[in-house]
Amino acid sequence: MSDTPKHTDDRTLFSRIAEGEEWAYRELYHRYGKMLFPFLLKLTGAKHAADDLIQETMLRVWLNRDQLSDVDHPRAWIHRIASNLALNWLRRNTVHEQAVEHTFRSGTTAEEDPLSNLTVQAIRTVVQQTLDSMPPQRRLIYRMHRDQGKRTVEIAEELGISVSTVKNTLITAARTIREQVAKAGYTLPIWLLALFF
Amino acid sequence: MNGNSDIRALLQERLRGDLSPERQQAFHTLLHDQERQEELRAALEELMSEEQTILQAHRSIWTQHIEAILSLDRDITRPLTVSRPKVIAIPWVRAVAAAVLILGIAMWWLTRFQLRQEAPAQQLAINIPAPTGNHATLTLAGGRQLVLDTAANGGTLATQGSAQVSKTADGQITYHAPEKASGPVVYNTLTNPRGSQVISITLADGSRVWLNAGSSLTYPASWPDNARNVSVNGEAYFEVAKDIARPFSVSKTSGGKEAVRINVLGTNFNVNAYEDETTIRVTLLQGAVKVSSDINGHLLQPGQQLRISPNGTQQIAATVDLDEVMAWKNGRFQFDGVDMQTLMRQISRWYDVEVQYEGKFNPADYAFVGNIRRTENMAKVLHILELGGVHFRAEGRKLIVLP
Repeated sequence: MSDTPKHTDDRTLFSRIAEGEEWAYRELYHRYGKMLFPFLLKLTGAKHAADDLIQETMLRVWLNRDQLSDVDHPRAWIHRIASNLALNWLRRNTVHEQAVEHTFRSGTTAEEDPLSNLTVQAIRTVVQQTLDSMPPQRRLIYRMHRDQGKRTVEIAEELGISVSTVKNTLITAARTIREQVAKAGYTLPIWLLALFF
Repeated sequence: MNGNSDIRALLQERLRGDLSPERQQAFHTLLHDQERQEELRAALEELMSEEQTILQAHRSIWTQHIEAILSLDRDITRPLTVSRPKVIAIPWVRAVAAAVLILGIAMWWLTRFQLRQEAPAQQLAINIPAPTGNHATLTLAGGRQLVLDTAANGGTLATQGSAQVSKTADGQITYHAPEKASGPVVYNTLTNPRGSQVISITLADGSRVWLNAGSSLTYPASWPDNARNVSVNGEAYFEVAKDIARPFSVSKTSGGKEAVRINVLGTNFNVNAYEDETTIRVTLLQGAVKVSSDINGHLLQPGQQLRISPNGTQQIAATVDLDEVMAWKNGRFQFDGVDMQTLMRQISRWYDVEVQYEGKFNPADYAFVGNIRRTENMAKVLHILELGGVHFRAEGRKLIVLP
């Protein structure tokens, strides 16, 4: 793989993440994790809450990756998501009499508990079904990239197609998965769509 | 106070953790006020983007979260394995989740205290910029001294017998010499003073040595037949060219006695042997070295660090953070739980300031985590320590550390 350039800018990372490049996603996660953690820690008062909010935010980045190339301002986009999630958290966890203690509402929704075992299993099932019903070439390219870790140039060579075809296919696959996941109820809130200007 | 600035004020109080009971109530009301959600969100976003503090922690703390997300949409007809990160997997990196938990809470705790405001005059005094160039000098065997930054890049600096030393286009030093020396072996010393950038020198056999500030390297102008011996003081990183016929060794003398000798077979390693550091550290990146001191010798494996105490006893650390060890060569300060005095010594060499401690405190109580470019002004680096509850005062080039 190409070495991660130490200071790749956010927009470039977004473009690579849209193509399903895991290294770019990891880089973005580190970058924003470091920046968001102190703020979220102060806001929530709890390390696990800060971690969860970061993970929830970044989960949405990954599942929405097919749309990332159209995002003009990555930082603002991520901050928007994180703020919304943080406010949701505050609403659920702030009790007016107590300055610091937090009570947690019983029962979790997929939104609250980003990656509880149930949610993971459910999302994976939807993903698997989606992949199973994809056109064979699209599925093959997706598997070569994500599971076998092959680079887009390698895939293009092996299959005798262009690199841009490979990249577009990966984006399409990501979009299909996202749509199916949303349809199954593991939705990213509608307000997210309004962000794309 | 108009509505918007009160929203911002409430959020700031929440962030500082000093909401009074009445304000807590106002905050709670605000959270559930349908009309003001958009303003609330905008204010929160604004404060989020104004946040300056960055978590200093090893990248591995995020690994599990990331892998959990990435594994969601892999094809599970293939067994689920954690895919190797696309950067080279470094075996000695370990998850440091427990340490970061403590650090995370400590940071939160620290940010709750009002940092003492430095008077503007003090801020200026601490504004010491990083070294802008390299000020190394080369002392040739006869005693003649060349100041390297005044010499032109790309030109010959000196000729010694059949060896020629010159400065490359980007300011580094390189030797051209016939493979074997003719005539007596002559030694030169490359000295990189404090407050000077890292300089590298390529020796006649192709070996390359990088010197940190406050360091020196003594080496022969061209190599004799049977061995390649150099000596070092301070901190240096070596990439030694393989030559089985002529073993390479690096030694450090202290008080007239040899404190350590490293025998090398074509390899890359870092030596940290400053006079004012009690422990000598030799870290191997690649290849193999044998490190001998007064009492015993050790064969090092890549990724290991050998620590030699003043009386010559050796101790091997099986896993060290190589990023931290090599940070200086990569233009960074990186510390992961380093004690204050060690950190202050690094700062004093790079910025060429004299460090003094004032007031009653035990410097050993403080440990710091940080990663910052060496090109930054000293004030910025000190700010990391200030977050840890340390204070500073500058008097010219003297830096006073206060509890």
